[in-house]
Amino acid sequence: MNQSLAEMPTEMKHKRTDITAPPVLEVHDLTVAYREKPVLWHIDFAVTKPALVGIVGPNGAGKSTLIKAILGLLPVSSGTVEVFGRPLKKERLHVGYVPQRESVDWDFPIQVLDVVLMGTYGRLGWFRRPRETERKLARECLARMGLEGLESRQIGQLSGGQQQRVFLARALAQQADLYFMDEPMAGVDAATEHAIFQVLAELRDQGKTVVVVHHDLRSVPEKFDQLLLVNQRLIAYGPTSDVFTADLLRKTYGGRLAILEELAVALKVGRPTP
Amino acid sequence: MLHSLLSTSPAGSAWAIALWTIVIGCLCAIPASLVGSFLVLRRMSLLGDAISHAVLPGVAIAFLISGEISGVPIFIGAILTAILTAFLTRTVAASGVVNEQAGLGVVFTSLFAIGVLLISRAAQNIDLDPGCVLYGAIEFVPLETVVLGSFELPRTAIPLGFTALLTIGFILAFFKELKITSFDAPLAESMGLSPRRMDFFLLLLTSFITVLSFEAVGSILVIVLLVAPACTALHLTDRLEIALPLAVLFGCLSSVLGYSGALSTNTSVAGMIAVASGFLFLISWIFAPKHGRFANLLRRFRLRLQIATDDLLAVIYRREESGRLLMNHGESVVISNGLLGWLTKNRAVRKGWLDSEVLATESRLQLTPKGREMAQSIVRGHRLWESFLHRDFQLAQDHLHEPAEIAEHFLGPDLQRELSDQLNTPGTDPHGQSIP
Repeated sequence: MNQSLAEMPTEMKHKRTDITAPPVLEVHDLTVAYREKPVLWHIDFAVTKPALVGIVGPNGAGKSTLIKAILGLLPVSSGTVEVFGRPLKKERLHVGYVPQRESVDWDFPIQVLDVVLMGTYGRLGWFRRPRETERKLARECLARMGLEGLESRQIGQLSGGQQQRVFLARALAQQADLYFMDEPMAGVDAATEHAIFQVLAELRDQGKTVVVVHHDLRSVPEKFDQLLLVNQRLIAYGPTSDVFTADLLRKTYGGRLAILEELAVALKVGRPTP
Repeated sequence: MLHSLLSTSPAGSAWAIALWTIVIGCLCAIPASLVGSFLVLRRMSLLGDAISHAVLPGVAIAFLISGEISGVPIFIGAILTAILTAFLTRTVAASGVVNEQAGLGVVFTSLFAIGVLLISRAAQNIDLDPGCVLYGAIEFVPLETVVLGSFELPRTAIPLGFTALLTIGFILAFFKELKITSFDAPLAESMGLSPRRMDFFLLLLTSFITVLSFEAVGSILVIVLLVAPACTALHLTDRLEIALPLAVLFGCLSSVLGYSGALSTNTSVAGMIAVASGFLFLISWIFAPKHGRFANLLRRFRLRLQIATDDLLAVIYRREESGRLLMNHGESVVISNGLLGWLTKNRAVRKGWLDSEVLATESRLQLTPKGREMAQSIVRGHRLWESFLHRDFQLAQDHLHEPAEIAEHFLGPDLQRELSDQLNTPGTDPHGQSIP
């Protein structure tokens, strides 16, 4: 039977896990400048198979800038980004994004379900409106983040942790294969952090890739498969066990690693080499 | 001005003029309040302000070239300067010398000043009143009519009606895109729904509205129609879908109220429309059910009354617990005096918590069984909280009472149970008093 690509179930079309498949994400020689002053230099890395990737570095290292530049939200001075072997512009529907929580106005006149529905807007494209299918999906995503019953709350009435979970639910509604998340654990309670990490692990197990800007060094080793150390330049990229070392972290943070973090790192990686 | 205008018109047409003036006002207000809602939400309301000022030189130059006071050249001149304003503002802001707000301030005031100079210079030769450009002349707009089929209507009503329809159509067609680009522009952009394209459309519509409302309400007063009805509506609802029709309603209401106000005081209609929309905003600012000042005050007062009642019950409970018949001085100062004290006691009696017979003698106040139950829960919350602070935060004994005095009012049965479980059901608090 001759089955055309359009008739194939979406599951098969989007399956990107076979060995012959192109890398999930390939960033080549990316340089970003802000008013002629470079903030990111020659970033080069490739995520070859689905993974939970952490981006770690000190404040002002350009972590958020890096994911914004990859997503094409900032002008780049040089470099290319390929997603599943194609320019990002052509693969937008397969890429999800969770901006920082503070980047939006939580007094905006909008209810929780409407925010989650926004996850479906990319697939709908211009003009088409969300219908019952999309609503059903949005409600499922809310339930998956443990937010049942909050559908018609105005978003400003939620706690910080709930707001972050709404953002995660919206990302789930995007049904992407590659996600970029900007500090999804910032300012959330321990229960929410746990719930979010659990969902991220589930996404990875479903063959998706999640790239997360993360600020808490203590939870890095047990949560992320791959680690990207950034401080304006790429310090290291690789499996967490190879990259999360006292030497590389010190190189990333320079003298700016706080005593407590130093101690935490020391506890995780063992005694520092003299 | 308005009275003499109406009295010189034939009796039958005075009504028609009045009606048309209101309709013209509404036709300005409908698109302005819709587009204005998005400008407010996108924190671009200053851009509306800027455009309405900055179109003036465009209008003046187009007028000097074409010699016509209205029509296509003026329109094109205005739209071009509006786009120039937005472009210049972005350039000034992007150069990094000043921020966007300051950039706007510099660009639009300079352009506006150039416009005023050009117009006052032109006004020496021909009949162009600078006041008219700034404040409009809505009173005279219905006098200049055209015949459309068998229907006679003011000439200005046609482009204004067209803009209103265009705006409504635009918002219906792009509602989803407007919503996401206003709420979360980076996400929209990552999806390929360009926020900049939406900005551009909104900018274009704003300049359309500004230019066409020009004759009616003038370049300055149109700012009020862009901002005030939107703010009024956004105060009253948490849903964009409701805020938009509400904004339209308030815009039209401003037109009606403005006209009647001008009629009864014999002043400028456009001025009165602006005053009316400001007045509607003031009302919603004070009386809005959720976010209004009045509702806020009421909520705060209710909470104060509840806290004062809790304190009263707890103090009597402590006295009874110690077996004393009279309250000591330390206890009686906790009870509020004056109006709050009176309201507190009344509330406690009304709720059946306080025995009304000995109400007059404060030191002998008696709890009813129901009141004792209530008071017990408050004291229990207080002492559990003290134990929690003592154990988990190692606060010293003399630092425990004050935080617990606040927390006791907010510890419901669920939280009390959880606290008690965590503390392994303690019998006494850190001061050695038993936890009821």
